[in-house]
Amino acid sequence: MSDLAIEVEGLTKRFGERTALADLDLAVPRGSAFGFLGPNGAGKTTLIRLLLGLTEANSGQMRLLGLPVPELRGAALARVGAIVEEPRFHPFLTGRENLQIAAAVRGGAAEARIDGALKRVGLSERADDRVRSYSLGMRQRLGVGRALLADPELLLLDEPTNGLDPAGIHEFRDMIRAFVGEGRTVLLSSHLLDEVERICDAVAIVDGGRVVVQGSIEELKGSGDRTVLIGTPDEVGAQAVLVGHAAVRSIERNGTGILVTLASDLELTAEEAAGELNRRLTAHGIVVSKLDSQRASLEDRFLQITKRLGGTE
Amino acid sequence: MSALTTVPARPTAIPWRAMVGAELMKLVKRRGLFWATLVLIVAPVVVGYIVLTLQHAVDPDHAGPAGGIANLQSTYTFLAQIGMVAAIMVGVTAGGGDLGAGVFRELVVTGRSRLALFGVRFPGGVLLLAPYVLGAALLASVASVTLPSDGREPGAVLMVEYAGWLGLALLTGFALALGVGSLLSGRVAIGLVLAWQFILTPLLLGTGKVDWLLVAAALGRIEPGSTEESVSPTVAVLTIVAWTFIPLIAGAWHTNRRDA
Repeated sequence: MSDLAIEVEGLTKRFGERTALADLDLAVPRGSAFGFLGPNGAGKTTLIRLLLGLTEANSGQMRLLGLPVPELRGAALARVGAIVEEPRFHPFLTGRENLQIAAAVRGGAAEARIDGALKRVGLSERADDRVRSYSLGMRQRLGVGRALLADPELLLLDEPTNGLDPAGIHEFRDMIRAFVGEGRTVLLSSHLLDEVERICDAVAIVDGGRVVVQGSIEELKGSGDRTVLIGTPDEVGAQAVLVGHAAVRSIERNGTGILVTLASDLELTAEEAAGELNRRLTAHGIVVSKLDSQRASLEDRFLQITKRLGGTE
Repeated sequence: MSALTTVPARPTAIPWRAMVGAELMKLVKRRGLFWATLVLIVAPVVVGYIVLTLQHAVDPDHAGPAGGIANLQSTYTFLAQIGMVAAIMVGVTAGGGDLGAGVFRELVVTGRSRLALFGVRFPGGVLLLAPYVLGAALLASVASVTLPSDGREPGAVLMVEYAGWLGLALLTGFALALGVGSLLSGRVAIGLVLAWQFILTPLLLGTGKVDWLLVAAALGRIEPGSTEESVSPTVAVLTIVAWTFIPLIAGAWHTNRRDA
């Protein structure tokens, strides 16, 4: 059995003249919550639609749960649950009836999972109400319930927290972590960086139809610029002292102090570098009132990466 | 449900029975469609025979008794027209209901083939229409033999022939609408099929030159007791087969190829 839940190589999808995915590679390990990040139009939904066979690729290879798709799509998707964009239902049917339809199409034991799925997403009480009366958040939860009918080894969730209130997002976060705790793999496509940082173990950032970086959250954050924010009443003097220091790549005044970006090949930790800069400044008689070493958040890294590539965010 | 089972991913056999049942549920639960079909297929029989009975009671010199073969025949001819509207509505809904609601995509992601998803629309719609057709036929048959007549009452064979003919007529309309409904959006499809059925077909029949092409002429040829001979029985059968299967094949082809 492959250790990867999703393997994509050289995937290309064009819509007329526009290239939505360009030679994209992606590897999602089993049993993880994997964030798929990117600005709007980066190709996130297109990848999910291709994996699910909703549209055809122009070229490239895909494997889901070790099975090649679209060749063995039926077998692969038998253990995949998905939400693509906003989940859709027949509004004149109840929540339970909508799940019955999906279960009938899936076959096997799906019918027997309906009650459990409704309970798990907290819709048992409203299961026999027409979906027409559901809020957007309830529809999202019903969408997750429908995805659970497959007893999925892999869940593909495209912007699943859209429309959820803060409490709903919190519940959703717990639910995804619980899925991963059960051994399921979750691919979470989102532009909500904070959510992905809280939920996911690893991420890939896609931009312009390509995966531009992929790895664990910690690796990704660690690979970003390290900075030290220095507060001093003599910003001009401090700037003059630190320019040319081996640990310093650049310096800028940002209104709250001077922000020193450390050299990327520096062997010191950010904290050690901050201490070194402090010693240099005090040796030159410059008073330091604040010293704050900072690591890039996922959001910082995302913005660095996508801006570097000319992204829209 | 919480723990992940360790059964490896594998496709399940197509659960035709459950899928057809689900398709039927989607149609039955549309209240508007349910009542419209009742009004267009069953109610005309009841209303028709009540009117015929009242006419005969009020003016027996000019209006004959309501029972018998002649009124049974005119009832079926009328039913084939008005019931066709219901068959078209059911066909377009079965063909495009999932797409219109955006649910087709949700069914495709189960891994079930698009052809299977299309394939259950036909039996689902037929199962919806069949009880209405049988109900209308039963009412018409009972009325034709229980109400006073001019002495010419239909036998069981003729009753069955008429019921079968009505079913076939509505089936052709349903199949056409199902195919077109799978190709085009709901409103466009229903407008197009109704326009074809009730505007263009009568105009073309009026020319008398393309009867071999028209399913209405073919149905007229094989109607029980028909004296219509504009097309041969063989051509009539071929025309009906073509009008039933070509739209279905086109709908299946498009459903199988389209993005979801």
